[in-house]
Amino acid sequence: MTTFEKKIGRDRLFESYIWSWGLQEDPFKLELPSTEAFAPFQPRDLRKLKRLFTEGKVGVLTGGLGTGKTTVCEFLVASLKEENLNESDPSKQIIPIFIHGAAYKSADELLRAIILGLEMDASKNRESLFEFLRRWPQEHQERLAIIIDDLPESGADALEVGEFLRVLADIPNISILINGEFKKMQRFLAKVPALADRIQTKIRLKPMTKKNLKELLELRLKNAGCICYNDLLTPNGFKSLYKLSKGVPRLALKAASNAIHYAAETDSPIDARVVKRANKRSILKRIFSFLT
Amino acid sequence: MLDIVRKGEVMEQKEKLYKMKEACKILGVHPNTIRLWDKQGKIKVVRPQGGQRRIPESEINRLIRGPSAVSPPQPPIIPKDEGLPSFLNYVFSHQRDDWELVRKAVIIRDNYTCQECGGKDLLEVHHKDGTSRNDPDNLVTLCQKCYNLVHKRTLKVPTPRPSTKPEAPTPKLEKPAIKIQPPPVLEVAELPRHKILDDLKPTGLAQRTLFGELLSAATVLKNFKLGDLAARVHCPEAIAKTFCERMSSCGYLVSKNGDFEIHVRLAR
Repeated sequence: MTTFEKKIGRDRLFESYIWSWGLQEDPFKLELPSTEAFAPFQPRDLRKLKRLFTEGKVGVLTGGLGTGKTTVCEFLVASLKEENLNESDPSKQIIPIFIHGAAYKSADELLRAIILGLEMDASKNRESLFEFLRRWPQEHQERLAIIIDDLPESGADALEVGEFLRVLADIPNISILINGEFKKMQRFLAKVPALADRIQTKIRLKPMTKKNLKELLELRLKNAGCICYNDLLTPNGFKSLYKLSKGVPRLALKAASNAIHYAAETDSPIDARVVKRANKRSILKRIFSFLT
Repeated sequence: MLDIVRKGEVMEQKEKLYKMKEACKILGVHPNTIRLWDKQGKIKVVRPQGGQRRIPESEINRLIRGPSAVSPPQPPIIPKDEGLPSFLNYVFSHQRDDWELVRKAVIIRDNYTCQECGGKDLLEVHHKDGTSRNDPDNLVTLCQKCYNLVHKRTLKVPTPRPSTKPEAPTPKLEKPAIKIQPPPVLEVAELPRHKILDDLKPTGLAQRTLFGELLSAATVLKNFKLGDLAARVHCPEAIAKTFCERMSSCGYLVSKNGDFEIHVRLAR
């Protein structure tokens, strides 16, 4: 027993509650536990993104906060890796490199991150590293998919990074997907018209529909090992969650996580009352909810 | 005491008695050695009236004629062509603890040649698995340069080349019945990721990136089973197995009863 458990104690109520439903841990965690737990939505748009990687083009993925941009990128990376396992022909393989753009402050750092993503030696000088990418179509049969998450949030000079990406975009067999919040991305692209001009696919993620959100929450429960998920998350509980989150998956997952903890305290399934009690909002927020 | 003194007087009349210093000079040994031999009864000394040791000439002659009578067993004379296999057999079977002798035997076995570059100068004997196990298959002759490189883990340890003389192959050695080995002290090299992955020789970039993920997982797990590693990276066990095999062949992974233990650190 740890010192924390001795002094504070374990949340035995919650543990026994989720055990009774066949769960091991909170099923509504924000991060994607596996590709199996990804709920498909906007399938036509996701197909477009996939096609982008095979054609070596530039794409932009935008959307509001919590609409699942990063999750979509992670899902694409995982599915590309999975396909590579089954594909023996290197010319049909797409090597995904996922970069958290907000962590890099210059084009040089981005270049090194790409090289490190390929598990290569990134300690060489900038010219040699860029030369490696420039000779990509001559030296490699595989296609390269560079996915940069939250690019407009990086503190780097937009023009420098934008020009670097433009040069990369001109190399055959290299495709780039950048994602970020809609307005920030617009501002970023306005500074680099040369890159904006090369963008082939623009996808904007919208909040989920009722059907998609239900599928997401059920998948999370199923994936975590819950068998009677319809009994745990009642229909009116789901309705309440949808109303609260307005279909934004991150909000829905946060609300559902709060609800399952509250449900454990009252030892009841997740119904509308539990969702409302667990996600109490101030009167002002409730009145002006249409503004958010 | 009286007897000894008398005996000494008698002997003095008959033959010359040497002082310790003189005897040491003639025999080429340390005074303490002579004292020890005296204590063990291996030589006869006399003590005249002063009580100091005097060594009779006859004893010195005996020692010079047959050193084995008192001296510790001498290492066998190293044969050049004939009986080389039996010599190596003898050394590796019975004299494994005598590092100098084992070292010489390995250098002779490897024909005074570095097994990596073929150089003949400044030869060293290297333990391949990093332990102090003096087994013939664990020892290899390397020149100073290759030895240093191997110790930095930038070079793979070569297997000994077959001898240039076909009539003198490496003998099959019989293991000693009971031998207490010191606990193995394994070297843990620190290498950058890309160097380790280069050594694994992946077939393509997809496999390289996957090996990279497996390497990260293995570094985190440290001791693991094949299934655990595959589950962590969400990849088929067959690929994890290939990874483990290649890591083991490079000496970065050690297998113990189905469990793997990583023996390389990732340089930051």
